[in-house]
Amino acid sequence: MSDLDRRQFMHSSALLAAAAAIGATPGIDPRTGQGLPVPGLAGKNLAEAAPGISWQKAPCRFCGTGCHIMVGTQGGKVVAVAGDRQAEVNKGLLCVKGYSIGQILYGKDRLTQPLLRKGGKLVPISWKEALDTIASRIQAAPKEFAFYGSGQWTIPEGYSAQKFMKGGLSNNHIEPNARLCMASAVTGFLATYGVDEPAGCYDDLDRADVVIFWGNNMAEMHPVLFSRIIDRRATGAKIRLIDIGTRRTRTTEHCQHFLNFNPHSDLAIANGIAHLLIKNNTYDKIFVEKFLAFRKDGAKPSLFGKATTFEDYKRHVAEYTPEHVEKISGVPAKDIYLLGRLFGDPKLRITSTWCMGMNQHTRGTAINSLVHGVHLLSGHFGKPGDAPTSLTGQPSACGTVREVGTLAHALPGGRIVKKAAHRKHAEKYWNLPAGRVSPKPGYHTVKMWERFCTSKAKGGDINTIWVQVTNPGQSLPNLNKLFLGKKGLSEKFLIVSDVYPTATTKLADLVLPSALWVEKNGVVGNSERRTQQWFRQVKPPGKARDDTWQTIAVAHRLYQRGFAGMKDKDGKFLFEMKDDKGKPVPVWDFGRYYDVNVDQQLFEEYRQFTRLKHKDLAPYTEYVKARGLRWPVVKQANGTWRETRWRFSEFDDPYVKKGSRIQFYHSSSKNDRAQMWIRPYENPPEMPDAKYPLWLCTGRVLEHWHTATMTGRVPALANAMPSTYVELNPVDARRYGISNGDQVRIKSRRGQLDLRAWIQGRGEPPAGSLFVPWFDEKRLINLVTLHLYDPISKQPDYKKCAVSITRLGPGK
Amino acid sequence: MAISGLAILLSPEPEQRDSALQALQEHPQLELGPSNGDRISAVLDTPDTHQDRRAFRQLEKLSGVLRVDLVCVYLDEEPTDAPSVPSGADHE
Ligand code: SF4
Repeated sequence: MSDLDRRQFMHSSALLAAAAAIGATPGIDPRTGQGLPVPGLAGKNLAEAAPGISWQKAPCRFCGTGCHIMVGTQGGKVVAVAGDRQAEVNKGLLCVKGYSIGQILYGKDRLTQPLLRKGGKLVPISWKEALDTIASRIQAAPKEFAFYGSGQWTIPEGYSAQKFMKGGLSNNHIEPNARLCMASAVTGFLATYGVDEPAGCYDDLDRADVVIFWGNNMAEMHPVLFSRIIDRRATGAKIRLIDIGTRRTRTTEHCQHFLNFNPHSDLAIANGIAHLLIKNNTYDKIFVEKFLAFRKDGAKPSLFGKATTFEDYKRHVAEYTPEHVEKISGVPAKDIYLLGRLFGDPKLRITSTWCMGMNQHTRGTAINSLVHGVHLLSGHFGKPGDAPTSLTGQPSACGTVREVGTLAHALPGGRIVKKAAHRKHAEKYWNLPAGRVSPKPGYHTVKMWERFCTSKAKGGDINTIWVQVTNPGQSLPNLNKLFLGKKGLSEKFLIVSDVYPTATTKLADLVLPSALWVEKNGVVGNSERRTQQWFRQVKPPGKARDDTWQTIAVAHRLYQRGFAGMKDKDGKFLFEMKDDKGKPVPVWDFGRYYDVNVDQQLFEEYRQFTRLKHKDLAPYTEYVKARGLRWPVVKQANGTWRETRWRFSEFDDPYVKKGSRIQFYHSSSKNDRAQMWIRPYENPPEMPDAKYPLWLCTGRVLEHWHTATMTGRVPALANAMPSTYVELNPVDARRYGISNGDQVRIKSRRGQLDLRAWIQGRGEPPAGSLFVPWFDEKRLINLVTLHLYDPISKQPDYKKCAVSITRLGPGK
Repeated sequence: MAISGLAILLSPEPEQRDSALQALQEHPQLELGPSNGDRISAVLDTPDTHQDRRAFRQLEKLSGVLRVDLVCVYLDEEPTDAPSVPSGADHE
């Protein structure tokens, strides 16, 4: 095909896809009603419009929205992407990050061979040497080894790492980076429902009359979801949008109300709403009587606290008058009254969404449970459009971290290592001898890295960490303490599996090249409990290999060396895979890895766990056919599999007892009731003072995904947003003599960073606070941030610490 | 080469929508396709992704354009080796 023909084909195909995505009848000009010419498109599909390109589905690699993409490949390369019209999540649309996803595979500095640090330099080695090196480190001190993964691990990747650690090494030091982004959402749901993950789903956004963004910049962070809401409004739906935030964002621009609160004071706002519901007698009496129990903390905050009464709850919220809340939060009392009125109106449907703003919070669990609380107390729960729903930043924070349980205390399927019965189930499904799974929780993320960055002589009892699919050298808070502390500790050994050089590989002793996205099979789970599957579509470059393979290959090295933990109770290899005829396949040899579908075999094994806590998944083959299914997915009498959109509601959830309307069947009070928490506002652990007079908040930008290791390799995105900056308010700019573009220094008790100033930029922090995006590896704002965390979720607070700012000079 | 399929949401307000439509029709790199209600499909055809992205942003800013969503993109250009940032696996 000539270049011109190729271009014409792509042009036609793009128009066809766009027309299809909006459900257009070809040929009508919206202004004149006249036909518009669409040459050669009638009746064609993607494959026909661009011959030579083959198309297959895959979920997007980036945010937790979980859009589905049609991936076009030709000659072993990804050459095109299109929004998948069959996908309910995105209905054919993508955002700018989805747009660039094909290009993330082809950065020129892809890692393509294992590298070992020798004489201070990383030098190429064979896979054999790499695997032997890891096996030797583990064998020498199996209890001092830790695995650090992420919400970008696919379900089989996380599951194999989980089984390797807890089933093979009897070692619970396995953690995901998701501890840093959604651990408080988990503990919030556990504290309220007794079981993790949202009750509602994205359909709520299509039905709500009011959507409240609690510290959530959905327009930039989950753009396709935001589009769903804005589309409704554009087609005449009356939706009230409320942004409760600490800075103006693109989301604010679309909202009728912006409630600008002082950092940390969201707890007072939630308590203020509850106060008004009770004072105005507009709370839901049936909910209180039938579906709610009341709870408060004992001497120390905890996940389950102790029982209390509605009377006690009323006494507690009595002090949160709108005027009192105004004093704490800075939000005018009239806006608190507005929220009280809206929640007090049973005719409305209200959906709340949140993400890092509520989770990266030293009171993260508390604010999560309070937001659930206002929905429950007002009865805005359990109907389409009426739901508190957390969102995730990563594609499988739910699927892999929360469901597979790749956390130091957890087991697959919402189970925990502390409970003997839960360990017994794991040992049964993994065919292990009794007692193999350790009852002692491992170190959570901050502790794990603290121990790694401390010499053994001083109690640093983690000596080797294997990092997969994440970049802690950039994403951990207080990097000087939690990551750079490794420098000079010769006994420590850092292994990093990744696709590009990163801030983490800078300190790595061993670097392993990994396959990325459609270079491997995968299964992930998005924010609305939707499990999504895809197949490998192109091969990884050079010697890059699947992360699951890496884990299995190391396990097999240990097995070959006679390491007892890598055998099941019959002496067989822990990850034995069989072909259709039941014959074992040596999948640890990468040449044979795709002889069977390893993902499918791991998934089917994992699926057994999912039925233990009503998180049932369907067989793998069902996900091959679908654009994801929301669990619990339950088999019908006619043999089909049915997903669940609204949990705990009789009309949709098959596990709710008939006649009960709503049933919290994992209630921690064991009476089918959700827990309403008494959780007072308290000052944050660090606040601005004379030396550090400003708040600092960190976050993301539209163009880059998290640490930009992928989006930073896409020319259009790198050019559009090449480096980070500090956003500040004009009032502060005047106070500190700073002009747009000046170089400034941000300093905290932990570190400092020099940056360019941006006044009235994309977002606008209020006077007294700064905002810095954290995507830029050359300018690490996490040198400055705080490592203190929520006492229950152990999630650090990246959204507030105290800093100073000084002008260094004019910008370069 | 970068070719993007776009779904553009126009304002329901007739005057704004007319002026947006006119600007879109006059855009040298944009071809309009069929529409549905306030949404119109389009193709943006530019020499590279940098220009594509810039044009995309300009479209977002047009008065009467409420939102631009990307539906698909065909790319045919060499990616860069690094962001503002890494310079090889060994940074020591
Ligand atoms: S909204 Fe999220 S999942 Fe959808 S295309 Fe954008 S980055 Fe990907």
